[in-house]
Amino acid sequence: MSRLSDYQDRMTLKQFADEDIDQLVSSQIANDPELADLAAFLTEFRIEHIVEPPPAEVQQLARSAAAVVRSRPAPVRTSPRSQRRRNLLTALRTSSAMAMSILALVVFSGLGLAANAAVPGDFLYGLDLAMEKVGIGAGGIEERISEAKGLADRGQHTEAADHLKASIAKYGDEASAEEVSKALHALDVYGDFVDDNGTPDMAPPPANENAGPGNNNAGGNSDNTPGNTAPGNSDNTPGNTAPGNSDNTPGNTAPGNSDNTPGNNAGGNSDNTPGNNAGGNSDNTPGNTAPGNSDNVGGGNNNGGGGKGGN
Amino acid sequence: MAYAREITITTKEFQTTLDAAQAGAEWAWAHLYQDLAGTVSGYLRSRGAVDAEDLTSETFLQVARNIKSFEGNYESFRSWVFVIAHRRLLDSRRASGRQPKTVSDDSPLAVVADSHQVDDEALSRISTQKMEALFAGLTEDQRDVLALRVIADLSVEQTAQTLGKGIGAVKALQRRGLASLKRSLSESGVPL
Repeated sequence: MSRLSDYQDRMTLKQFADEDIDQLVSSQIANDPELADLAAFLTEFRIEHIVEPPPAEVQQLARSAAAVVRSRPAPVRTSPRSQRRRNLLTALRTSSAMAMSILALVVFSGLGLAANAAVPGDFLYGLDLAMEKVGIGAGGIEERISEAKGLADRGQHTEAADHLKASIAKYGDEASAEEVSKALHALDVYGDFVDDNGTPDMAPPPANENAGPGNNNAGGNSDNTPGNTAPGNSDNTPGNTAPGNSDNTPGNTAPGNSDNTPGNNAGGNSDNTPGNNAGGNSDNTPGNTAPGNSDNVGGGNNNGGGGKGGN
Repeated sequence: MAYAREITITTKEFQTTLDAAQAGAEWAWAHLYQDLAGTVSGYLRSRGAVDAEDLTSETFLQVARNIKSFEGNYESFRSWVFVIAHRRLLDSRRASGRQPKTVSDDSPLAVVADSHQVDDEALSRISTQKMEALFAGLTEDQRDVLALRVIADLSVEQTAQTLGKGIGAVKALQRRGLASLKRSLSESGVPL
């Protein structure tokens, strides 16, 4: 086709509206007289080509087609519910892949290193746990112990002990006595009272640096040697019975104690070793029978019977 | 003579027929074949298929193989059937190694003029040969579009879907194909 005829073709029907063209083609009806010749051609073209099939051909095809259909298995139709489930799984897979990508980006950045060193309560601690779940970072009881050590280093002894207990509970039997020993050694506050086998050392804690027996009996003392009985003491050696004590060695029976060694019977204790019978205890080792206890530790608890030292 | 395709199957009838066809009922297939076989074979023949009847049968057997997974109305069904027919046509061409007719130096107008000299009676009505000659003067794409629009009575959208082209492209091919036909008719002086 020459360029001239191509140009002519483009210009020939330019004057006609799309509606006229559509009607001409679909119904072979020309609204414009100038399209009458085309309408007639298209009508003839259609009539010429469309030939109704003979009845015998129809019947033969119908038999064949019906036989084909009957030989085919029913398609597996997807119900809306399973389709929704599939969509959800796809979305989850997509979001999981995206999360992994973000995690990989984090891991290989300084953020990942910072997260690995995080301890419970830190902003990045959640990220640390997420990395461990996908196998990045050590994880396990050893890292938990390391974290407890980190808390203890910050002076958060209670949090450290809680974290350790929760971790040991989580890892269950796998937390061997040796690991517990390591954990307690890691917490300096317990270190002097546990031997190398993880067995609590029942020996009394060392005396305070500047205190001797019989000294400092005045109320409000915060550092007391054995025999002190002044009220308001917050750290007492064995034999102290003053009320308000918050850290008592074995033998203390003063009410209001919050950390008691075996033998304490004071009410209001919140951390009791075996033998405590005080009411209101919130953390009790075996043998405690006081009402109000909310956390009763069974065998293998880590509330050793030794008193605390190193005020 | 103006011709408008009559809708032979109503929506309700089609659903009943489709359900029966999907269950393998012969009467339903006879109904569907009788309704569409003429236009399918007409389309294939207009596009140069030598074995148009065989291709029509193959088209419907392919429809039968996939009918259980079909969901849609009558217009969707017609469109689907012509998609299969068009693919069968392309497969047939590939298998035979034959390319469709292309525009050659032998102008369709020359064929039409020769026909005039041989058969003066055809002046009153354009013959099949003349018609084919005029149609052969179009490009391949223009013939595809006009055959589906005129013979198969597909809409612009259905035609675009069948050929895998855009709607705008189909409209352009339709307009230019008609323009080419109009010019050829005017130049040949053939009365219709």
